[in-house]
Amino acid sequence: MVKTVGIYWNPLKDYEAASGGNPLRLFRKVVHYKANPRSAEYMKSLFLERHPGGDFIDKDAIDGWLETVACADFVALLYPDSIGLRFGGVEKAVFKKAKKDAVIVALNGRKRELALDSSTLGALRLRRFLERTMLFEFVLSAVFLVASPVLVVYDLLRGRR
Amino acid sequence: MNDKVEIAEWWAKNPMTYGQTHGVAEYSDGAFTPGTEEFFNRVDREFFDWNRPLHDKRPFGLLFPYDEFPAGSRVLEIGCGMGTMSSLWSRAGAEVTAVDLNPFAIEMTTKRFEIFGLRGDIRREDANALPFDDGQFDYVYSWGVLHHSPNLEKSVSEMMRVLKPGGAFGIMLYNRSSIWQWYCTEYVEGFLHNERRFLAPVALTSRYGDGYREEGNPHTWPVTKEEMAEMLRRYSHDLKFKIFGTELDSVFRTMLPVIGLKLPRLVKKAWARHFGWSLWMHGHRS
Repeated sequence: MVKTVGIYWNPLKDYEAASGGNPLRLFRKVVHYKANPRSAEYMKSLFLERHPGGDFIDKDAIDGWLETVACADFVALLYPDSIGLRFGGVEKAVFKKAKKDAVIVALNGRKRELALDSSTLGALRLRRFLERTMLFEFVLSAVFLVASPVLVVYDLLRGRR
Repeated sequence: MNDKVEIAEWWAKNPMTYGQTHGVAEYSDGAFTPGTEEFFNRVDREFFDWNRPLHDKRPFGLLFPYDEFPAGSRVLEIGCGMGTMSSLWSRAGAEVTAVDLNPFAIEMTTKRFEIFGLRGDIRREDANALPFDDGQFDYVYSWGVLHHSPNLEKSVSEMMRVLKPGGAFGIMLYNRSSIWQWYCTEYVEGFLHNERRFLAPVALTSRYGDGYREEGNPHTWPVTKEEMAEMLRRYSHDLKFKIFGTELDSVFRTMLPVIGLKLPRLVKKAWARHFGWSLWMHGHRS
């Protein structure tokens, strides 16, 4: 009998709760909005649909959650968003604790199941970096600052305001 | 399952109510029961607000040729949804025919017309096979509908068939050459969220089109101005295009850290005019 566990964690809940005009809080709210994480109920329902009989473990609710990984044959990390923002530490701990022949996958809030091989983990790390820093968006902002006056003048010359 | 059946069923379960969650009649000031007078007034208020730049003294007065088609004109709407736009034409005195593939849309539009004492012929029809005579209508329009089912060319052909020579048309479709498509769909969802690993282009755009924060919808394929020019040129001698981006206010807030909150209106309008999500094409039937 294959023992299956699903490890759920929502590290973005502090981001959602961020309030006030503090720039860092606003930034986190935007990251949360774009990530669009699913609820614990949604992820539990999805996990049990895909893995009937599996054990749904809420990392924040159970102190010894890592021990459940040690005896599992199949471990699903339940990312509430698409790419498991802030899951790096959990992944390291799970890979260290799991049995040598355990299968470790991610099941995300878009209903995709990913085998966590080194290529996938590398791809996820890049995307997490880009999502959390909004590096691409900062570069885009610089482009907008340069391009906007050009576009406005172009339209004004064509009589469009 | 037949595509059109799946599409009609999805929109019947998830109608465009312009609410905070797609398909649900809940707004910032509370929930409303679909089919009531309060619901229709609330839907209209939200829809008009989303499209503020398109009104003059009349809703959508900057797009709809109300003066060209006075009372008694025969007007057809393809894809009536909750009946907001067809009720505008009915109030303007037109003989309105409104069709939709979605049975819930027909039920809602019929109720709306009854509640507000409006006259119209509202029926469930397929845009690919309209049951009307050639040249039956003076003005035909469709707003944000035809990109949600396959066979766009067939829908356009039918639209032009039932429009009289010299009559006018207006079509709004989503624009593939837009900031929404490039940034929100292709960069954020396709690349950053890794969805293009699992979804081909039409499936990606459908998943991250209407209802994107929930589970998406069965079919959305936006068009380009060039594609529509090629499709419509044979029907119209005075085809014109207008792009607008009433969604860009909210897109800029997440896409441009800091400056997105402070962009002057002149700048936002310039970007919307070139790279907005809505492509409006209009003209007269040759």
